[in-house]
Amino acid sequence: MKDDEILSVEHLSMQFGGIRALHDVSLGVKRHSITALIGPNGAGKTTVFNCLTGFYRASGGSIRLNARGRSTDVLQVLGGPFRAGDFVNPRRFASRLRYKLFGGTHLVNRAGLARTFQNIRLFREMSVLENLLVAQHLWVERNLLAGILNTRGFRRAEEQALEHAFYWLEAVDLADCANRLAGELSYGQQRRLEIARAMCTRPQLLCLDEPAAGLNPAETAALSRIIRTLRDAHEVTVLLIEHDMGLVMGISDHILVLDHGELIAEGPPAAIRHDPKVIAAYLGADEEELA
Amino acid sequence: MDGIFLQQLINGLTLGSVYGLIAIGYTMVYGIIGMINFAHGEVYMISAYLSAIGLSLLTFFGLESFPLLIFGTLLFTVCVTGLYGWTIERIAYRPLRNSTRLAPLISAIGISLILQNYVQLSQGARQQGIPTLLDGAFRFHVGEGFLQISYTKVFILVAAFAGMAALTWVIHCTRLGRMCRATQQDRKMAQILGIDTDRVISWVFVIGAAMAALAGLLITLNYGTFDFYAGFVIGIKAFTAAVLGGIGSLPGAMLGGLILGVAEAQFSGMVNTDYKDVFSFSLLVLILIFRPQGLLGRPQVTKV
Amino acid sequence: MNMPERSSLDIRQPLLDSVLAGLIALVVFGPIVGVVLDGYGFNLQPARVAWIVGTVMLGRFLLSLFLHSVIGRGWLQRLDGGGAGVQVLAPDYRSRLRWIVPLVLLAAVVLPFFANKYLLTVVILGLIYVLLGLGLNIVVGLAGLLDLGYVAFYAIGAYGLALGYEYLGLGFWSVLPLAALTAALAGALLGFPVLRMHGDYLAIVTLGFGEIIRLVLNNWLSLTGGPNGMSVPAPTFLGLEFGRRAKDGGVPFHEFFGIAYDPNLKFLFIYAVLLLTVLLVLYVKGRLIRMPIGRAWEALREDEIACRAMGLNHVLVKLSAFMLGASTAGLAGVFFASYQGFVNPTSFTFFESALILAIVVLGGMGSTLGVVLAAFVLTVAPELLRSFADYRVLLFGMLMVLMMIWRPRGLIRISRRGFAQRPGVAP
Repeated sequence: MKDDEILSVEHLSMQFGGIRALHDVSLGVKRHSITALIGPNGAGKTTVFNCLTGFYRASGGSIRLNARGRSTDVLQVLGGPFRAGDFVNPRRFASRLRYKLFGGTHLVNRAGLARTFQNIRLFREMSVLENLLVAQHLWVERNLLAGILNTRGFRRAEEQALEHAFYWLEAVDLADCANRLAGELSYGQQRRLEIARAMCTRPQLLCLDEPAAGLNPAETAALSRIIRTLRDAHEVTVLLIEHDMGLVMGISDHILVLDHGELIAEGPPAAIRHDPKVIAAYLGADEEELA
Repeated sequence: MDGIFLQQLINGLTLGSVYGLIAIGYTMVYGIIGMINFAHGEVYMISAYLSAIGLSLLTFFGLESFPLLIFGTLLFTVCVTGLYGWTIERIAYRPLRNSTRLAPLISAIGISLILQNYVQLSQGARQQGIPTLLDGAFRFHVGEGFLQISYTKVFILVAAFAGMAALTWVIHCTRLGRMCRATQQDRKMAQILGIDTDRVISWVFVIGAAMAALAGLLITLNYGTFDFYAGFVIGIKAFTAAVLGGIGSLPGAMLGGLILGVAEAQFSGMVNTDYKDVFSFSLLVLILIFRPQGLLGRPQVTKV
Repeated sequence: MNMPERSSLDIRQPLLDSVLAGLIALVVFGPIVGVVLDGYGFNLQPARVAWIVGTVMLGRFLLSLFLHSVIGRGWLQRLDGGGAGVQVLAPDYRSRLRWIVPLVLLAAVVLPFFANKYLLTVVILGLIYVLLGLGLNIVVGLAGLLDLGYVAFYAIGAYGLALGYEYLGLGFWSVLPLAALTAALAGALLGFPVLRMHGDYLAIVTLGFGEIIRLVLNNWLSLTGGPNGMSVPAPTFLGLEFGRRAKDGGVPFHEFFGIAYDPNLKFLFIYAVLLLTVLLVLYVKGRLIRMPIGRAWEALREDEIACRAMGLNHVLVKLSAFMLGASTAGLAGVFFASYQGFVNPTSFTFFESALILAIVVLGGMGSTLGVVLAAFVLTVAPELLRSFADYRVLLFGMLMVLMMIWRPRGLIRISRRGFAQRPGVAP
């Protein structure tokens, strides 16, 4: 495991029933980089994403997240099935049981990874600010008694959460929408709100699932500015899936290309642009022509 | 011991085949709209009343022969109960198709309360019954004791399996069945391909109600008595059967019904009759904890 | 298309609708309403069928006519709009109904001085249902979990008092917190495995659980006395009893304070404690929706997957709502048992769960004031209109269906809190 990699994936495979969605995918995401995951439709990008963010439990391989000063085994915190070895080693048994009972996707987020969704998932009937407050759930005063008695500590924590929420609203240029319903916002505003909400969980790795889908050119340009600022000013690593090649080529430090569930190429934008395998994957060349 | 076991096995299979019939209604509706039809137990209760009413009307008009009587009653019950299924979908589900997820559940519970109370008000709260229509039984000597299989039980088993076979044929070999399966797979896509999915959903409710109607007639034949509250407990049990078999799967509903029926009969034969309902409900909770996808169901992958 | 043609169409469509509805009503209602089983024979009741079919036809005709009119069309469009009805309030918003709170409080304090025993018992019953409604409102309205066996936790509280007195010698005051704890614990045991699954399963499992509890109470004769029920001790105040004479040579309440004996004293006392409890629960609920946990419940109701992506443990968050709701029902159960003086399983049927659900639905899911009003309307009204009692469940059912179609969120518009603008501060 290399130290400068915030995320390292080795031999990842995923099967749905008899269908092999991913096969032996190994990749690494460098700290403070902007990495893009591209590939034709149905290549398995979203599957990789869902495995990394803990929404699917991968069938094989390992995913390690090195953030917040520790290393997290994503497959372990999801609570995998019991193995024979667990029953002879009480400590392993206890940890397996613990993750089976209380583990899950949320632990991946707590390890320092936040994500957005391809088909926006905001709390549509809550206000914009409330969306951001929910995202700070782990950073506010959650003591029931303090909340019910409305203690000074509780009020201070809430005030800080609000200030923090406004900070991110300003960062994505939504401060004047703070008291609107999230569902009322325009499509582009909703996409930006989702990024702000993800940032409110204070991640070190931000995974964006097609952030530019459905945006007009001006909004896309604003988005690429926001993504750069996140990396430069907030020391966040960004991993994104995107179809907009202009955006990808413009902001990425590193590009990973996926096709038919396998990693076919990786490298800086300039190299990817001229990689014959990538061109073939997108244009649908025959296998023989390639060889 | 063996005698009791075999006797309860037969009882359980008859009961279970009827559970399976009702479970089909749950499983089909869940398969197609992803919701539990909470009024389905009440549909079964209605059909029990309807079959008794049908029987007494037909006897009143001088129909005596058993096959004609049963056939006539079945036709009457299935048609009217099917219309109940259609009406329920029309009132409690269709207006709420784009509403919050909780709304159809609550409206279905409302319908089930309405049906219970309406039957109680119009037919009275007392137990109702029908006379025994099929007398006699097969008797076998087994070890010390003997095993008794009444003709009614044989008839129930045959009728239940015939009903399931007919349904399987409808689902697999007819145009309607094909449309049902397509809508179950992907409602939006089916709609794009020109299938009137609203109508398919209505049909699924009608078919489920028709199966419950068959079950209502058969149970009434076997036990002879029923009341307005009968749908509640049987509804939960049939739902347990559907979950046990894997909700959404037709063979699963039948298998789950048979297993639940046998398990329940053995439990009441060996342990305690008072707690047989408790046993079934606990079974439901245990299945949901340890194998939520059931015996024949596929584990669900959440779509992100 | 010219004008006369269009207007003739307008009348024909409703007529057609009405005839169709009448035919369906005839087939659906005809056999059950018209042929009443009597032993193995039957009695015909054609008049009732005619009434029902006539009502359905008329109703359908009027509805159809209305929906074809201009007002009706606009109304339908509003209904289809969906999502509407939620609004964010201005940061400095103050409710116009503020004056109602002190008024209701004043009425509640004054009431015991004027009420006779009957009115007092009716109001106590109403308050018990307010408590139940508030508890279920947390579960259904805020967290979006459908709990159909809510009555089981109510039964745990009521039988907790009866059993605690019978076998452990516990009184009202010691059982009150214990019942809340026990009910919450039962909720945790039931909820933990089920809450990680698809929401509908919770509904049916809780339905089954409610029935299990009732069956056990009914069948475990040696412990609970079965259908005959158990007697429950009257509550005491600092050890002082409310009877004319205290047991074991103690001093009864009225002698201790030197006032005249009043048989209503017990109910007055229950009323006072219950009122305080309801106020406390109201306050706590008002706080909860402004606390992180309340926001998390609502967020989970909106989108569970997004919540998981933000580090919320969805099982534990839902479980906390489920447990809080259960413990409120446990409290209500203790009050119910001491109010009634005995408990038996017939008080804890599914109808009771349905009634509480109807309160929440009518009051508006997630709305506190609505629940309080609905609880009184649904429990006090049938008490006052005794002849109505037979149709109670029918009305609850219709109410649920109509409310869901008309306004899935209930009567009172839900409003979200607004916050004042402030400069952002980096973390």
